[in-house]
Amino acid sequence: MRMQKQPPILPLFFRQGGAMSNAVMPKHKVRLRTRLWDQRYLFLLMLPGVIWVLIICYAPMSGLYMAFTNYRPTQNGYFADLLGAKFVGFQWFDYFFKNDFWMIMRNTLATSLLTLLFSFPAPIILAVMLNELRSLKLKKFIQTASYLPYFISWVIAANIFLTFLSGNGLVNDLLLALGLTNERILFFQHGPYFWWIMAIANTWKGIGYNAIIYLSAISGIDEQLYEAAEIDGATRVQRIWHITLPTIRPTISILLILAIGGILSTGFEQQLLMGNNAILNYSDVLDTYAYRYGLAKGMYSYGTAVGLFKSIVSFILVMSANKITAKLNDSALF
Amino acid sequence: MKKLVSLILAAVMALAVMLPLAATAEEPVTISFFDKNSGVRTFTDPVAVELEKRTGVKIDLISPSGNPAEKLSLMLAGQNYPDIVLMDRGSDIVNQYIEAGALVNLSEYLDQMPNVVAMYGDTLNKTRYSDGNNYYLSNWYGYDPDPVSGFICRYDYMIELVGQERADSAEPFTWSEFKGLLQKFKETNPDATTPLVIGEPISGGINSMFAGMNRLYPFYVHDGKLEHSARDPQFMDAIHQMNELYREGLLDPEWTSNNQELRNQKLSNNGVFAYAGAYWDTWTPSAALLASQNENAEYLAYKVVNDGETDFALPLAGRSSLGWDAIAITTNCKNVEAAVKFIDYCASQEGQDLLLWGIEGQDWEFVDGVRTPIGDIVARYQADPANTVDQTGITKWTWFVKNDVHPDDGTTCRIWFNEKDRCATFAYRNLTDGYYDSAEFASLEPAGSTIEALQYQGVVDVFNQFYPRMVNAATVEDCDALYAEMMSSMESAGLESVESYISEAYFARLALWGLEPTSK
Repeated sequence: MRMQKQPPILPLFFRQGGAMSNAVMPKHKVRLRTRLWDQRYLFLLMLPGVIWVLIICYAPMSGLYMAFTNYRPTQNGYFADLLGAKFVGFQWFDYFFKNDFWMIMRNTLATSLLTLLFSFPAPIILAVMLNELRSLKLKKFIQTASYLPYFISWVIAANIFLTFLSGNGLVNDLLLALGLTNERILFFQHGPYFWWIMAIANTWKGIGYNAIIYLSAISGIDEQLYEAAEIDGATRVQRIWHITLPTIRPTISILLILAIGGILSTGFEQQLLMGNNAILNYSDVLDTYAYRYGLAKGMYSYGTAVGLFKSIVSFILVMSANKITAKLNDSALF
Repeated sequence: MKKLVSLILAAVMALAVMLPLAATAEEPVTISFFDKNSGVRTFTDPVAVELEKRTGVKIDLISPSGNPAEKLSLMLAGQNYPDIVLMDRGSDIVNQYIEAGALVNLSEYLDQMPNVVAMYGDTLNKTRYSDGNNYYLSNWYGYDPDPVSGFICRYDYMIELVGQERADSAEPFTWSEFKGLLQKFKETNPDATTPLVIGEPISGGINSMFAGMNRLYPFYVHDGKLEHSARDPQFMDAIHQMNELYREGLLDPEWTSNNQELRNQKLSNNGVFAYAGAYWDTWTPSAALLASQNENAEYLAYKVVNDGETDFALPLAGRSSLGWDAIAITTNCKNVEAAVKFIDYCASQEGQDLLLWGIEGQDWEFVDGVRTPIGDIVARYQADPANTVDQTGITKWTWFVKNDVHPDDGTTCRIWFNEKDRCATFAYRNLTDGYYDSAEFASLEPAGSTIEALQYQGVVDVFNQFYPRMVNAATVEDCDALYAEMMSSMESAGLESVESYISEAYFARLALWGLEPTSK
């Protein structure tokens, strides 16, 4: 005799609405219209979210058309100006690629890849180390201390870095005292140093926040796995390597996909606040470039074109990273 | 009883109908005002309250949170600008607003602004747009008697180095003399890493002191057109002077990465002899030094001229007589008549006195026909400028300011500067004729979404990158090689096309003003 699958126990709200009344039936046997009607309350719940996404996320995308026009605001209203603007095709993209593209991409990628190099493994290491700490008080203290920089505004953080790394700053005093250098290093006068400073600053700000994500993933690991490994004589390092890290691999994968997707979003405030004209050819990245031209100089169409280019490349990167991780592991973002 | 109830109800209804009308009649007009300089200030001080009372206009101040230039640009893009906007006159944002048709043509309202016409005079002619109309009014217009930039030196060190008499003399130092002082200071203070601090780089230009000493204008007027100042034969003289200082360890090695806080920190320490820039930039460090060191430990202004310079009145920096800011009524303003009346009052002498001297009878009074501060108000300002301005409201709202002395009694336009302290006395005496009028060169750059505007920004970016590198070059040969590279990169970025655009705009402006081109 064929067993009838029991419907799940649902809150009264769903059962009354009949939202899941056809849950036990094969999908193809239920007409779409019926299914939609059955799940009407779920759709109703979803509606505010959908409206929000449409208005806040999708509607502004109509402005991307600006990248292909010569938009000039007049008194006719935004949409009339946008639709009435002269269509210039890829003129702005062409100008960007022929002029500043290579310098801006070099700076963006150098800053991003160096940041990724530090900021991707650092929170994993911190989370694993925190997990191994026996003293709960010390663990909480380190966790809080490492999380605090996330809440410090870049204005303050930039001034801290500028002061510490100045010619007469703490870092130079330390390097001289330790005999690591004979003369003071002018960190903000040499372009390539700036990429490293950005990478370290970004890592310092984000390490605590990302470590919390990993810590929550670690806290979900079944204790019995560790106990069994301990009985089998596994050392602490072996337990980390064979239990902790493989278990949090899905979290690592997702954060890696997100990091790769954001590789062209290497920061904005920190470059503006810590950069200077002497190293502008190293500090100018896609976001600061689009800001300088698009907003500060009022070249809206050009700024939009640079921003659109960044979005397209970021989208391709996310898709590629997602595909690759899905193939290598069983986990992917979507 | 019924009759009584009916009467009461009728009376209540009549009152209900009439009260809003009465309230409407007395309710002041509200004008929204974006002031890029207002920061986080609120419009609630005594001067603000008095201004609202006198004009019958309630000001809804729009805060420029974050970067004011960005906010102005965003407001323009979204066409949601307030009734009145105060923006940077030197920036191309003004032309963007005019070209977008966002500003009311004030020429049509000049007959309703008699005070504006009387106070502004010829300035109105010079602030016309290329179509011949006035779309904004200048702020801080007119030739300012207040000096600007010089070499601001530590007075106590100066006495040590050259003696009291020379330190108090108004005679300018020659470049060799001044450089000798920097060297001597470094020898006597071996730990001093930064004998001379200069202002951090500004976009598109070099330090105004070195430009001024070498007679560099914002543009090089040559062969009947305007060229980039880097093409001026004396441009490299200025760069070599700075490079020499850098190589000899006399210039702050981190001048490019300074910001106001870091600069003030350096100037407040005992390792700096001089600062090249505006004389008011050193007020905060001077206050700290006077409190912690000795009575002569403050920065005072001196003039330095190139060796062989015979014109001691040579202006050291440019300053536009057309002012720092532009104030305009936007087309979003629903009550232009009220905005015009408000502006006319603020621009009038009475309005200026209220904004810059405070309330008559409370902050100042006429004594024998001369404006005289009441009580210790000026002393309070000298001890704590920021809080005094904030509490009294005097000079807190600097709108439609005319740089001039009062024609009736000769007092300064701002109450605080009527009594000069030692710092101001030195600046007024030593930096006389310290700047030239750069009005004709201001805002000629291409603006908005055009290829010329992009090329212009590209040229500026190249210049901004190379200028500090030339100053910080290890050898003169490196410095010259960088100059050649810079010129080549600027040419590639479209320098010639930008120069043609700027020249055309310049000559069109001169034709509009009825002036002849400046010649060096």
